[in-house]
Amino acid sequence: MSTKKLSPKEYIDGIRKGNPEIIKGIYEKYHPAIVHLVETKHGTKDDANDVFKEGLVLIYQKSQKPEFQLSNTFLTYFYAVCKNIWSNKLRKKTNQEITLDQKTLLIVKDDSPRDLDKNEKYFLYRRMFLQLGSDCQKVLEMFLRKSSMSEIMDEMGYGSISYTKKRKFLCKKKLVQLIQSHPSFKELTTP
Amino acid sequence: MHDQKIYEKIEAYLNGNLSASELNDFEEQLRTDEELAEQVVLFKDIHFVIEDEDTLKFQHIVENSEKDYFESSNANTHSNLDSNKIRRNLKWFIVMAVIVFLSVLIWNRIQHPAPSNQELFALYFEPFVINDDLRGPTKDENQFIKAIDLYQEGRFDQASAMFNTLTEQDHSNMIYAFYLANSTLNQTPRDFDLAKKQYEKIITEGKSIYVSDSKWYLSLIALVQGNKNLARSILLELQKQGHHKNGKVQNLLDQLKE
Repeated sequence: MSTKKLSPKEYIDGIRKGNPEIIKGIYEKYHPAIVHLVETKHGTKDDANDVFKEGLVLIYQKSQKPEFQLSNTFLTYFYAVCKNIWSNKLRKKTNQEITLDQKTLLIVKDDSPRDLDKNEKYFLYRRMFLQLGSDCQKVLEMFLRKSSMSEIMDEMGYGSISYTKKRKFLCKKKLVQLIQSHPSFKELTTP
Repeated sequence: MHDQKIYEKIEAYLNGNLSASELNDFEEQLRTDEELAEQVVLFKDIHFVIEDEDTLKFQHIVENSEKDYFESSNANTHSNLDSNKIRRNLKWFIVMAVIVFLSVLIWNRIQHPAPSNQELFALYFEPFVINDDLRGPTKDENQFIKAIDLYQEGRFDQASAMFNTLTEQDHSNMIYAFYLANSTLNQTPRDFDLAKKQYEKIITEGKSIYVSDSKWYLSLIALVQGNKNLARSILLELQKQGHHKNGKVQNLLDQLKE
């Protein structure tokens, strides 16, 4: 990414459009800050990596809403979002109430713990889906985006409808196994 | 029921493809079979995330960016390792280079006078580089991160002002003190006295990971302020404690002997 300083709007537009250069730039510039945040609050580097990605996805989803506006610098906003995400995880881990400072609360006031839990759960499911082979991803995507079995069969070059159904089942089973065997699954699905 | 049949039944239920009687039977089963009910919830969530094509694509971009980011960090580390290997293999070349360098140095000593303290400062001073190991308890992270951001962007005047405020709010925080000193040493004009005060505070406190860096910068300040003896004694202390700063401590000590 160019070293030019970006405005908050440029960052948000970049995220909204999924611009890889902007995402890369955010990594280069702000990843150490989020690692610092999480590590000074009882977390590990891996925790920080997850928080960072979940924060980006959360901002992406918010940025799709036309009423979304940023009234802070991008760093202040991103930092507050990540802090809220990490506090929510920490709250569940330690079973203790974590109080956020007023400034952060003001920025993340719309993100309830319930929303954050949902974001975390869907983030994990997407991540597991992306770990499937590309064939499996395509079969499941076509099936869930309402393609018929014969369309899937033709597209994938499978020999029969029954084989296509079998493949779809095996792919989904694999995905379910990946999700259910993840260490966070139980915690995320327990009400 | 066979796994595949169960999967297909759940999918038909979620897609609204069950007949009225099948739907009744299935809902009855859901009321009594907890495991099946949980599986239906899981499938519903899975369908939701796969149907949301845009977020899925975005997360894919994020995962790839993370991979690229770590790969480029590793590449830098590997490149450093490779450099070390090359350096070892070129041992004899370096010996020769040192001989040539010393000859040139001796020639220069004959031809030119020793560098001034100001020149030595300019030769040895480099801005402190922030790395991922930045740690420490901070009471106001937002301000701190902003200040670090300014420092990284080279906006030292503004970074210095922010670290000054942070230091006033929390005198015991050595990270604030260290970056205040570093910022003031990089701003124009440099504020040597303020930087000196902060480095001395860090050294007196003695627990910060920045003690040896503070000593190094303090020796450079002593030098630029004309106190060669103090600079030398700090450098000797650093040397005794095993902090060599990639050979810079020894080099500077050698130059101070001249």
